[in-house]
Amino acid sequence: MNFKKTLCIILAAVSVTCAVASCGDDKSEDKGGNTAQTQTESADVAATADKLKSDITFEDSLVEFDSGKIEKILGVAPDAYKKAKVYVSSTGATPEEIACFEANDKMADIIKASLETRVTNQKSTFTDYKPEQAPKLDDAVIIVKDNCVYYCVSGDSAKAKEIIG
Amino acid sequence: MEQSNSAIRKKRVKAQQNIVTGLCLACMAFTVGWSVFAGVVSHKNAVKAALADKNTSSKAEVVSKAEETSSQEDMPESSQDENAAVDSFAPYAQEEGGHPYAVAKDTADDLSDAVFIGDSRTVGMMNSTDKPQATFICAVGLNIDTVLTSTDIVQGDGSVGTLAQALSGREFGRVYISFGTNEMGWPYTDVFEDHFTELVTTIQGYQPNAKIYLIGILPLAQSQDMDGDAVNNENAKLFTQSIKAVADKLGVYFLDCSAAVADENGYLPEEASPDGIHMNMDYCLYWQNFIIDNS
Repeated sequence: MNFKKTLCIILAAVSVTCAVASCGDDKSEDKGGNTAQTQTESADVAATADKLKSDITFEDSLVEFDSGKIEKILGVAPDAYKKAKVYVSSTGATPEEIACFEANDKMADIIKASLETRVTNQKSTFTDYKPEQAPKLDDAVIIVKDNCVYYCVSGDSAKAKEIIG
Repeated sequence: MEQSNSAIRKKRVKAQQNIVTGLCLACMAFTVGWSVFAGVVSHKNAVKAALADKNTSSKAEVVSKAEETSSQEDMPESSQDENAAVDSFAPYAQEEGGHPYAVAKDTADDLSDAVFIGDSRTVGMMNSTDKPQATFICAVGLNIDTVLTSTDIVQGDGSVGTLAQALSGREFGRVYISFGTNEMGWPYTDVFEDHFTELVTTIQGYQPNAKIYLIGILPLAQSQDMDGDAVNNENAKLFTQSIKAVADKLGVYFLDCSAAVADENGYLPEEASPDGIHMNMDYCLYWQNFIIDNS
């Protein structure tokens, strides 16, 4: 009986320990899970930008912008987003460009506003200089999904919307 | 009878005890098994994350090595994934037979005191530059007739405004002025020279201590040259002579950057441009590097 009692106590202690350890593992699992999830979310904007670049036929060659150029030229400061991938015309010949952002908290609308300003400014110059490019700006795609902002100026806005989803 | 009832009762109690014991053991087994599974999954995730970080730093090392090989300056810190840098810039390594302006020989010049004022070709350089300290005041479609009044000029913070706003409030050591491509249809070069003179003297007013460089019109591709419109190499040379005349008259510098981008026949190579006029990133950098090495 004593042996049985002792065994029961030991087993109960082991199971409580395992339960607590699992709860502790849950936190690390959550961290790992959250990291994986964040990486997936972060990778999504980059993946979407790359897919827009690869799946849409652009007339121009596009160059990737770093955070400095994103701020100077698109007007989106680095503290507005966690992750971004931006491609812009490397030649200046067309208004074709792609920008995908994973915005920081409550910054999605600010990023969207900056991109809308960008479209307005580009229209102002291209309408006179190269009017054949103006329709691309008229059909510019700007989509906000949760905290992600997607922007694409191309000759195929329907395809862009399909890729962004 | 009582004995058999008692025996039955005992058996029932024992069975109940065994059931409870069995359930408890099953719960314990489940808990132990679950914690082991959670631990294994967590370990796998940690390993994946570590591998992902390792890949990222390996690719960053590749970028760094490429930069060291070409003696380029460090790129600015970015909140973005550095992986993409591998694909986004001109080849830095100057191999034998490589383009002479793939890499600026003056590696110390970061263009931090320089401002580039111009039209869409300057926009191309702005978008392609690997010198984050350089300043660009430019706009697509800008010409010397509109530059002093346009409100569409990039201000360097994502906004647009006037030339005066862009030049005020900061002193530059060097000012590079590049116009002429959009003016090749003008019938009179003396009108072009008058406007260019007015532009340069206005800029001198804003930047009295700066060295001013007037850039000759870069060549066009043969396909554009043969297109039949006013934007052709003959006019490019004609208006470039006017630019040089203005430089001589005002005592400022003149730079003919054609050598940076022209082929052996004096044309912009077809592969350099999507439309025969505007240059892709590689050629924008050749142009930039020529300026660095010659001014």
